[in-house]
Amino acid sequence: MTATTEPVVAAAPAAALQKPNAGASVLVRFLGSMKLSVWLVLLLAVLTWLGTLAQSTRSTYDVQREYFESWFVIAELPLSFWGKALFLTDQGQPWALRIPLPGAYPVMALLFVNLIVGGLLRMKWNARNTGILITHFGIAFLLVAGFVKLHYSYAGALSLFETPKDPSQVLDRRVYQSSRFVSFHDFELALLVDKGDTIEERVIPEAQLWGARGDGSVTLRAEGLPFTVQVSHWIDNSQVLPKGPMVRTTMPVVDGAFLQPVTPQPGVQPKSEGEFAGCYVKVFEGGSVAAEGIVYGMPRMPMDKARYPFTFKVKDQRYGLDLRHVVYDLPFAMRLDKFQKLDHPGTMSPRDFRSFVSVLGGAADQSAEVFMNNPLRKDGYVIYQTSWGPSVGGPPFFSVFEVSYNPSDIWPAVACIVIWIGLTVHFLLKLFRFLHSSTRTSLQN
Amino acid sequence: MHRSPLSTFLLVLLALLAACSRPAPRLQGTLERTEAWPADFVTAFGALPLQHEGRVMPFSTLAASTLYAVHGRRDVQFVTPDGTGVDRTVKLNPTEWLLDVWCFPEQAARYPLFRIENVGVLSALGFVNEGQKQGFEYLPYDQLVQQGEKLQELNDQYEGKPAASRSPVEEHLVQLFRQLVLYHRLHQQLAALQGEMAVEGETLRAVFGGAERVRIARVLEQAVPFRAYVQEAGEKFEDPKYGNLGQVLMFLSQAATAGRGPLLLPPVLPPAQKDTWHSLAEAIDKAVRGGPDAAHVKMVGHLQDGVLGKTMAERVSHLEAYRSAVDAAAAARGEQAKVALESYYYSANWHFHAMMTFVLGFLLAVVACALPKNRLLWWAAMLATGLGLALLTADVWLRCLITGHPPVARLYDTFLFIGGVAALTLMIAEFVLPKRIALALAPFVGALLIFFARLFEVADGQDTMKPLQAVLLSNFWLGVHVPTMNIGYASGMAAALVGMAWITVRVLRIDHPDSTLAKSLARMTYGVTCFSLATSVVGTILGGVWANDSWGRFWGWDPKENGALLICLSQIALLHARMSGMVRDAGFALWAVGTGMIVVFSWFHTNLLGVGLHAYGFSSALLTAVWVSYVVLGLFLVAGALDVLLRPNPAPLKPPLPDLAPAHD
Repeated sequence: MTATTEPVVAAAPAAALQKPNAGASVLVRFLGSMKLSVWLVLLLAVLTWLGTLAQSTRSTYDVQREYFESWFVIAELPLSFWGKALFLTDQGQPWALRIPLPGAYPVMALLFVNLIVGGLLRMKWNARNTGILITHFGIAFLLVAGFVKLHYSYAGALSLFETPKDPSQVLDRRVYQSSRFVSFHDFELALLVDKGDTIEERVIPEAQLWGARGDGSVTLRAEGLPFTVQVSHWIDNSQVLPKGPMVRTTMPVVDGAFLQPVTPQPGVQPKSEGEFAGCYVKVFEGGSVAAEGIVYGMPRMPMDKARYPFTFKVKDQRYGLDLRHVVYDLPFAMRLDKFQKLDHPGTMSPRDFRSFVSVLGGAADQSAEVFMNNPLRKDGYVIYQTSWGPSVGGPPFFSVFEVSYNPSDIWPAVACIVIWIGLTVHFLLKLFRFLHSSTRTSLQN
Repeated sequence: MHRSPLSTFLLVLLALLAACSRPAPRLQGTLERTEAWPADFVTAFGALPLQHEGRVMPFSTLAASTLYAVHGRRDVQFVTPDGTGVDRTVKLNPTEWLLDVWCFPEQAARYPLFRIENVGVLSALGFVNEGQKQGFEYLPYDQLVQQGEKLQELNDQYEGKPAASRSPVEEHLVQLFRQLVLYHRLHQQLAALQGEMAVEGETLRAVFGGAERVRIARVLEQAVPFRAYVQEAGEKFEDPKYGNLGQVLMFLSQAATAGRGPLLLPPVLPPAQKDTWHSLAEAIDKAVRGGPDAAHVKMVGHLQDGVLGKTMAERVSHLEAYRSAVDAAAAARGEQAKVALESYYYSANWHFHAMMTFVLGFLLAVVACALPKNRLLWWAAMLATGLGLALLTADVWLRCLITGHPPVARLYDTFLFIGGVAALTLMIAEFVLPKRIALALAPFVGALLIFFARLFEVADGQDTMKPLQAVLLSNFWLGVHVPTMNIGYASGMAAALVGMAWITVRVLRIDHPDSTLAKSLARMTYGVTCFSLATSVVGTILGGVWANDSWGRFWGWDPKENGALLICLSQIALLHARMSGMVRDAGFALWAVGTGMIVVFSWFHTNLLGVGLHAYGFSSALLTAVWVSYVVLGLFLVAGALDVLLRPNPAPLKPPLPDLAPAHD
């Protein structure tokens, strides 16, 4: 087969042969072009600027999702001068210019391709370009680190109470040690089946319930379950309120209570700190409603480990529905032995707060101190000191940690060193060349 | 008569200053204190250690920061008749002013203190308008406090509104209420010491050696028998048999629960034992409930004798005794050295001297530009700028020693650091391409940023060395990320300044864009931008690495992070645009000025958005400064862009006329 095709290829006109290569060449030239770099960087700058301004009226979490992790965004530019809005809407809000733009995600992806093609592959690999090649490599590595972080990392919170030194002071309801942490902002709906000594769980992530927003509903069923669950009125940020005689609501009222949407505060970050999802659930058995209730993603607090799911019975089997932050398992358990908070003298402003913890689960328990700028790194997880409580009434205190799993944890630090070396080499070489150039001599005269 | 542009400029400046200067306001009533505080005593007492807002500081620092906050100036001036009835202007430095507040409270209450900059504020508070116009007016405490309830009501009404959406009058009223509360606390600080209690009933008088009137310090001295007497009285303290014990206890109770303020009594236990600073109220409370520390009793005694002294000599003697006792106790615990250093720092005022030296350097550089062949002037300007830089470095170094932190830890520090780095960058640029423009720009930017630092200090009205929050207490990251980032800001501003110079040269037809002067400026802008990019990129990524260690994420799209990224992106795009031929000298200079606007956005504006982890609080003065910077930079940008658009090809330089030569024919 090879033998028969070779002469045909050899006989083809040169222009026809070059056509596909020429097309590829144009594409490669375009993707690696420096002008494309300029426009992409400028586009990213515009997105960054608009995304920054947007945070003055919207939560950082929302802006991050819409501007920087999306494919497309309708960006808003509030027109103002000297801190005052130039135009107001009918509702008295600052009027904003709406600009359709690609999101930062595709811009950065294209920039990465541009960097690889133009800044590494097509660039001449010679001594003159050493610094710039190193820098481009560092920036590409940084972008990869960002990609890995975005797609393969997860983080959440772990709250632990100080373990009393006196065992008689230990309270069953408090969380002193744990091998689980919960997501900051992602929820899941867990169906709990009471098996006597154990509880069987089936979970569904919140993304699959978003169809229940507004007037929509989502019906859940599973093999072996004698009922279906209809989820409706999903609200990302909600609160449960009692329905008094003077309270008006368009939401269904169940057992004297209803769900109310909460308007997010500008700049709240991350979303979970003050925002809790909620929805209505109806359990159908053979076409009729067997149970109806509200489930609400109440936070987990270290002072009370118990959960209070919505429970119902079908065919004498007890079930529960628990809307909760997504739970992650750690390969070890952590216990809070002591929490220490030092204030600046004569003030309530903390100078230092740190947790003395024990990591349990290995061959031997490991002690560690976790405080600001000094996280604990263990088995791919990083544990940071975040906050503490109660703000009044302690001790005893509880400590709040952020737990993060990020495969690219230290990549940015490596990239930083690489970029620093690259830029230093490049600009020092340029300066040296300029100082000894005829251009300088001519400009001095 | 022909007048040079420089002298015209100086005359206009002097005229403006004269127009802006106002006569000192008049003091209502007469002076209680007829003698001035002795200068030596003022200097020594200014170094008295006390603890306030989380750190031990000198008395003079407390006085100065409070005066900035409530008065907007570093001194109090007023006109009052002297002994012969002739008006004289009295000027008090912060230490003298606070001494008056504590020792002559009624006189201090009449000082024209609270600056009202909007006549609408006077109307809102119900003051009769006596011809005041838009401008500065000063209200004394005793007048303003009468409208305290009204002011509190207005504050409650407007405080809930976002700062950026308050009207100027509303913002002023909110600030005025804060100022009143701040001053009121200080005014009341020694209220318990400013009088004597009447003692009635023989048995009660017997406790105090038969005295009919006692000072609170005497109660502390007699704490043990007094407490025994109180215990004996038990519930029957209102019984006439116990004299006016009820009134005395009421007075002590009020004094013991007085509001928070600076802590004036140092720890007196040996350094190995845990002890803290104490307030006067605590000492009184301790005396009533248990046993006060003997050392504290002595200190309170000296302080009260100083406050109530009959003559200046008596006051000075007792206050000096109090200061010595506090000084010795603080020194025993190693807390005095930094206070002395801080007292020296403020009295030496190195950054002010640096500013004046920079001004001298600038003037010399301007003359050097006018006389381009004079090498001596070039060196004189360079030396003056170098000296200014050395003084500024000394100032920043002293701050580092006092606070124990790297050079940039607070917003105030950034002015001094960025001013110094920008000046140094421009000096290096001048050495590389000596065209005398960077020679003038270097001291100009140094002086300007020190001036801004001083304005910020007054507008902010806070201690510029206040303790840091826990997340910032990492000297490694404070010493690595923050200075690197600020070097990026400084060099970005320096590049913008050189870009502005390039635009000026072109727009004002000072020289042709192809001249060596313009080409040198373009080269300088390029070189400084390269330096800025290197430091900004590394600084920004280092910030991410720090955030990863502190908050568990490398990048959070926080406004401050975004601001730093914007500088990097603008400069990356600029350098690539230059390399690809998209911009040439004109485009580069204009873009560098645009990047200067981004530096301002990143440096300050992101903090004013009120969101994110770097929001330091809203300040209308800072917002005004930010917008003024935008307007100035924007004007250069527009002027340059218009000139490039309307006159894309300036006429070529005329060839120089040939030298005259003798004719041989």
